Amino acid sequence: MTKPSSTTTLAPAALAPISKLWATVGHVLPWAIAIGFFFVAEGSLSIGTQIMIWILFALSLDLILGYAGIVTLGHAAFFGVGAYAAGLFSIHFSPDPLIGHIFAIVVSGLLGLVTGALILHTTGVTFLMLTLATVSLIFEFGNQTRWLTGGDDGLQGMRVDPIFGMFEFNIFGQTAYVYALVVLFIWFLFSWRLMHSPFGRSLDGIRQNSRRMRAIGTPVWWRLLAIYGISAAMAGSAGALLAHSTRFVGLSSLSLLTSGIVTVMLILGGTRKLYGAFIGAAIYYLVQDSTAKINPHFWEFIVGGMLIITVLFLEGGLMDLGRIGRRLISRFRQRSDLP
Amino acid sequence: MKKWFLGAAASVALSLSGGVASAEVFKVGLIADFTGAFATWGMQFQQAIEAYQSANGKTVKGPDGKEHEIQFVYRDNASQGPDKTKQLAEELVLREKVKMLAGFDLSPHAMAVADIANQAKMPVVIMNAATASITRGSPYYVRVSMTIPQHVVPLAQWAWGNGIKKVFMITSDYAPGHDAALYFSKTFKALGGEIVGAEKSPIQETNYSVYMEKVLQAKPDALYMFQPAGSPSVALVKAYSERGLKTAGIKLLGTGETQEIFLPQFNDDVIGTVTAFHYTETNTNPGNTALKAQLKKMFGEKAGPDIASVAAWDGTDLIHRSVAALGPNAEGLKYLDFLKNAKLDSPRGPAVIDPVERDIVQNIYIRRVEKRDGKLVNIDIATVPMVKDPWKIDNPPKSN
Repeated sequence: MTKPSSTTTLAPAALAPISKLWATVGHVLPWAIAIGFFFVAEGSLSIGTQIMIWILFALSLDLILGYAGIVTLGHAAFFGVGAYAAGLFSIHFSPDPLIGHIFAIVVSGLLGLVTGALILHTTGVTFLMLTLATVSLIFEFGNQTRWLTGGDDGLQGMRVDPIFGMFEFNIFGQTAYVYALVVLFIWFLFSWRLMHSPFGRSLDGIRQNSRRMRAIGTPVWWRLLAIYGISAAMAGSAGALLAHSTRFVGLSSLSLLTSGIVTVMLILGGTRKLYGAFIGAAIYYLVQDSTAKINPHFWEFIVGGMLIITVLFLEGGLMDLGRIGRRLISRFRQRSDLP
Repeated sequence: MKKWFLGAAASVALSLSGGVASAEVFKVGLIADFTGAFATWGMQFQQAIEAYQSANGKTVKGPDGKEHEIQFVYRDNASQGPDKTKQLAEELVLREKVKMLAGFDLSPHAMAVADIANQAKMPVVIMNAATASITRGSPYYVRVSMTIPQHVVPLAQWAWGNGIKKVFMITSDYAPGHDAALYFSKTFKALGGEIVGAEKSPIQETNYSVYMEKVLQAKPDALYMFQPAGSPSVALVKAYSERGLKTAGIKLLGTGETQEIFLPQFNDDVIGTVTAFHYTETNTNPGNTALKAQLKKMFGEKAGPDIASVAAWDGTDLIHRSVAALGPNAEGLKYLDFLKNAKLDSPRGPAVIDPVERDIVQNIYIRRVEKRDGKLVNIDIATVPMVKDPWKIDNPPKSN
């Protein structure tokens, strides 16, 4: 998928350095769009909420797939378990969404640690197979334990209290939107800090050359396990958002297809850039939604085509468009510098 | 990109507000899968709706004497979960200003919109989603399709009444299959019959040899199957014949596996299979003749009707009739009140909407697969009139 040695996260010297101003604009832009959307998109906030949930899910995948180089197809397990944990908590314990959310994070994080501890000693195709097995087992568990999950019919009877007793979840979706936005922002800050910490740098090293990292004394397995658990907790948080905003959980949240969709989103946007998840999930969802409105039979063709083009020509996903733009600008500048 | 989207959204919103003001359009939002594994549902819904509107006109005369156009807005659930359904439904209600929702091929999808229906006071016409309990989810639900127990109970009764004393069950291992197994064995045992064996098969199973050996050893009078249409049921029938169950005289019972659209996938081994279902394609009701002719005319010779087409045809009929009776701007529950006790002259035969449960009460037909003019078809051999969903009889509504 990615060439491990040739692409480092350091910007090559040939590129024009991004000025502080542009970097700030880049950081502010997605959040400004998200906040602006709240005020202009009356009646379609729901799509914004969905997109942010998928962004968070893709972001969680980026931590392991992009940074740590763990190729998995089982990430839906944590997403779905988070959703079911939040749903079951609201039915059996308390309809308070925030406590339910924390519960879901803990449950899916623990599941990540347990399954990670079992399978992270393998790599490559073996690991991929084991993640497939994990998600299939959990899916089948959800299908079989009908008394608990409702099986194929889905989890019914969820009640969600207003957040802080004030903000009710309703059809206009304002509460769900702000809720998702705040949760996404917190997780984003967390991931940003994490990936720019020595811990994050060590993951980068493990992805590029794990033997060498072991040779210089990095506890590789523990680092991978830690990020796997964190990523699982984050995916579970996305699942909890899904459960609370939909007030219903279906078995599809645990399906292999869900793993596939989130991987497509991340690769479309670009791995190892955090904002790649933002672009990928938003583009995927918006293109799918808008082309499906024109002709319901059409969207798979468009999304598939986009994915092929991205994989063939943009190694770093749609985020590479920015880099290409910068390269063009710097070339143009060099030319205009000539006498 | 975002800018483009907002621009597009704004222009859509503008064009919509213009559209609503100038004409009396009654919009119905239809949500179903149009792509992915369940794409046939969406396609058949849409074809039958277009066929109905082409045969009966798109407009109805309301009580105010004005013509109102009924317009369907189609949305693809895109193989995604109930969260997508909910998002689509919210947009249809808030942005497209639909007055009713319809469609829903899968049960979780139908259940996920209960909240929206209640909050927006929006009637929801369920055109498939067969889990029995769904209509209890919201007072705005009305269902024109079926429930699983509705087929299974008459089948078990017919089997008992026709000399079958011992049955072996092979049911698919997911919620509908569990319901089917439960209701078949419950009914059959209550009559005095014996279930000599029960196996659950994985939902995509295509190798039934081992199951058939078990059936042979148990020596039942009949084998009851509940399998997804398509390759699993084709494989089961093949194994049933190859392993000598058919020659041993073990009858094969089922429900929707032998619908006419699936029959070309089977070979002649399937002849003699007895199934119970609410729609037999060969029936000669005027509604059925009209539906079949219209589908053929609009979508070609191969466009055969199935339960999705029938439910969409009837659902559209109910929507047209309720707008004709109450106009386009009545309150949600008024439409529901109108639909209670509504009689349907359906392509499937007579049917009526239960006034308490808002679920369909209909004839169940016992059919045998036969070969007529070189083509495999279902032929009715018995009719069980006006079957109400047995699950609802077992679980009476809580009085409050």
